[in-house]
Amino acid sequence: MTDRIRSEMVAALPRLRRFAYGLTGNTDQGDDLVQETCERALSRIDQWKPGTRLDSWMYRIAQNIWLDRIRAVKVRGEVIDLEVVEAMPGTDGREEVDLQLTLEAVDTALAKLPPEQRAIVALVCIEGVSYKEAAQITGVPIGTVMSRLARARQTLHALLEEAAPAPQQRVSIAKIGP
Amino acid sequence: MMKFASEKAMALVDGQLAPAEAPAVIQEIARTPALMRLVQKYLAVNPWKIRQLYRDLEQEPVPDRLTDAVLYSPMGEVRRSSPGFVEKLAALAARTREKYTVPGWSLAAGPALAGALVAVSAYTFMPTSSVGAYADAGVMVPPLESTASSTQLVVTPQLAFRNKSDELCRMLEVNYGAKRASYAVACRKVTGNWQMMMATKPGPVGGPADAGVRGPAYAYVDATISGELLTAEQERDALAKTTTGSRP
Repeated sequence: MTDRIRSEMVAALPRLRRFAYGLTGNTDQGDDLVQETCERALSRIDQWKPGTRLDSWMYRIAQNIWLDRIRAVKVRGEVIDLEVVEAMPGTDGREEVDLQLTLEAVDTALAKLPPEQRAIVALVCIEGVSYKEAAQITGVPIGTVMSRLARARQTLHALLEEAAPAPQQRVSIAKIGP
Repeated sequence: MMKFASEKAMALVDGQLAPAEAPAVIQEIARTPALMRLVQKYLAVNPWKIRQLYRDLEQEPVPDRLTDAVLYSPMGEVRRSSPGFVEKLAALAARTREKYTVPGWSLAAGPALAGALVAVSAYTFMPTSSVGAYADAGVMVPPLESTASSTQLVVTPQLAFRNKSDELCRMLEVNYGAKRASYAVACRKVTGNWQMMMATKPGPVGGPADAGVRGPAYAYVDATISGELLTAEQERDALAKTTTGSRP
């Protein structure tokens, strides 16, 4: 039984590392988080209910450790006022959909989200879990998952759009190029 | 209202909206420009696009220190959960391969089996007087008054456990021919007497409906069990320890 649990944990490590990276935005910090998660999970294995998903339980531990850490050092991402985001004028749909995403830009934008929203984005958008699973992992109602995710996506969009070069600038660069 | 619609629209974009809700949400999006703009934002920052960016991270080699942390960190005790339905079936499969050969078993369990027969016979309108004998495990016993009914019953102990009062309990299967069965749970009281705690109506066994017939008995076991199911050996020991009313 214990060997099987350790094997399952080893198998879950790549995804757990990716999740931790999504939370911390940094490989070293992410790996530290994974290590602490594994050690805590093993020492508290009596709290895991056999028959339930071990990886989901570990996601939850990782998220809790990370949130505790964030709260402890009182590091908060910049909170974007939702009303400001919603008041932004709409633009052409193609431009919206074609918004170029890069890992660096998304990392930077993620770092500005409130921790609870970032955790939901990491679960749903990076790890690909369903809203329902995300609710189980984070221990909040599915409605809260959806509202956090919706706000996070709107904020991310605003941040990414802001970071992207304006269309006019791109045109002018093209004109002066060789 | 807008917030609610916004979240539904996002669920639609993410493919997580219930199909039945989709038409109404699509209509709402079509007639609400603000909602349409939100949908465009959700599409621009959708999970598939973000996942692509992070996909390669999963392929990176895991540092040894993390693997070592999993393999060598001290591990607490694994929780012992109450047995689920599948575990019970597995336990049952193991138990049915065993033979009940302990001397005195019939004596100890007899009242329980007789009680089970009495209880379940009520469902089949069999005169209780015809159930004058009990059956040992897997042994077919015709009713004593065979003129009352030609039905032959086979009683097989299925599971044994201790309930929350630390009483030894057994779940029994009572077969009526090859295709119908009833299930009962009997517990041994401190007086040493067995008491029928519940019995299910007879139903078909061996097919898809089998679980439905066993279900109420399993539910009763789930609700009353303390700890794990007993192994056949543990059950034999428990039965051998007390066969009179002297059990503490």
